[in-house]
Amino acid sequence: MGLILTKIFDLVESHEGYDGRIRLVEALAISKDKAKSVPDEPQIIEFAKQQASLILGKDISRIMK
Amino acid sequence: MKNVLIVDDEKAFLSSAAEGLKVFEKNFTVFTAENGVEALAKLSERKFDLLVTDLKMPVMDGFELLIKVRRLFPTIPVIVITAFGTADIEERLVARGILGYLEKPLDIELLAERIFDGLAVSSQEFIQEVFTLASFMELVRLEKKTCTLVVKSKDRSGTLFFLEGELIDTEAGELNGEEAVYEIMDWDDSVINIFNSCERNKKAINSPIETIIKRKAERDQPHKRSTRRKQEEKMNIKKLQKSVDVLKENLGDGLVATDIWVVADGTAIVGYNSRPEAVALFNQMAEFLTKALDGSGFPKLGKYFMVDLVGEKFVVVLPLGEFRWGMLIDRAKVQLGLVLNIAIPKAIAAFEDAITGQ
Repeated sequence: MGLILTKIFDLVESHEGYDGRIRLVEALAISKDKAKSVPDEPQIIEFAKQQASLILGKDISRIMK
Repeated sequence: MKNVLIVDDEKAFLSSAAEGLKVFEKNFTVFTAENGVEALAKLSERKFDLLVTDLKMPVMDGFELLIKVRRLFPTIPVIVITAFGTADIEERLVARGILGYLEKPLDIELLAERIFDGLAVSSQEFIQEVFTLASFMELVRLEKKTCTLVVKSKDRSGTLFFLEGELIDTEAGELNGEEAVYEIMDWDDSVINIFNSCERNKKAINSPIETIIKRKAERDQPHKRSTRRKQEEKMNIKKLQKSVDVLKENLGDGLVATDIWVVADGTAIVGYNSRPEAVALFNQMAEFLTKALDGSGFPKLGKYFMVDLVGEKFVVVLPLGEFRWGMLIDRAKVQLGLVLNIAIPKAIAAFEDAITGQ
């Protein structure tokens, strides 16, 4: 539960620091802590990947396969 | 060695300036150009640290040169030479990205003084905000120029008609008159083109440019205020204060002061032993660091930046989207590892709860 979402948070944080992490929190309206307990549903993951790609300025789909 | 380019169509002035400034050749090298075309060619040949340009010149005048410099060499500080300056106008130009002006006839000593001031700005590696449309309109008025400015931004286009320095009409999509000016002034990353003629002769705008610019600033204020209100509403202030409390609990006496502030206006929302002057200072420093790193080819700013201060204190600043969090810490009372690996991550988690309302 929440494994992929947490990975997305980690990826954004490692590239963009807390700044990127907070932008993702704002975009998803969920904190990193809470993300751990959110089910990894395809729709949620897809949306999170989209938002993370916007923050990082590159498509993360390939990295996150 | 610093390079200064002086552009003026008066050959006698150029040679006397070059001659007179030779005494400072250990500090900077003077290059000259007689018009905008020659100036652009020289600007492309080497790196210049300062541009001093007249506005009235043949072939390509100072206005067209400024537009091209804005686009091609946006970080070069610019001083303009004009016959019609006042202290008030200079203040307004400086506020809008032009470093200053020099009045004709030019005194070499004053020119040298201004060059040193300009180079001091450039040597601080200050990334100059490119001069704005407002400052350009002020220059057009100052020189009583007749021209048409075509401003483009993304897929939008606007036209401003000037007759002998007076803005007589403006168009932007379906808008015209003053409303169109306000609209154009809001555009980011705009590209200006200048044409030395004005096809309009009927006055559709009755206010002078400086009044329009002032009104625009007044209109922007409530917008800024409402943006801030929205940000404050979005945050759960009580929970936000709780994230400050989490930091306090974890750092104990080691936390001297802390503030969470809005980047846009550099004022704090919550804090502990709040220090507005420190907020303003570190907001500027964070802005500078972010921009400088972005344009340098170095990696971006990571999770935080730290400033070590005398007296066993250090400051940590965290960029957090539209917000920043700064904390002054007493290193004699708390270990850096505890700050970075325990206190800050816990405080960030609490901050996230506040912005998501959880």
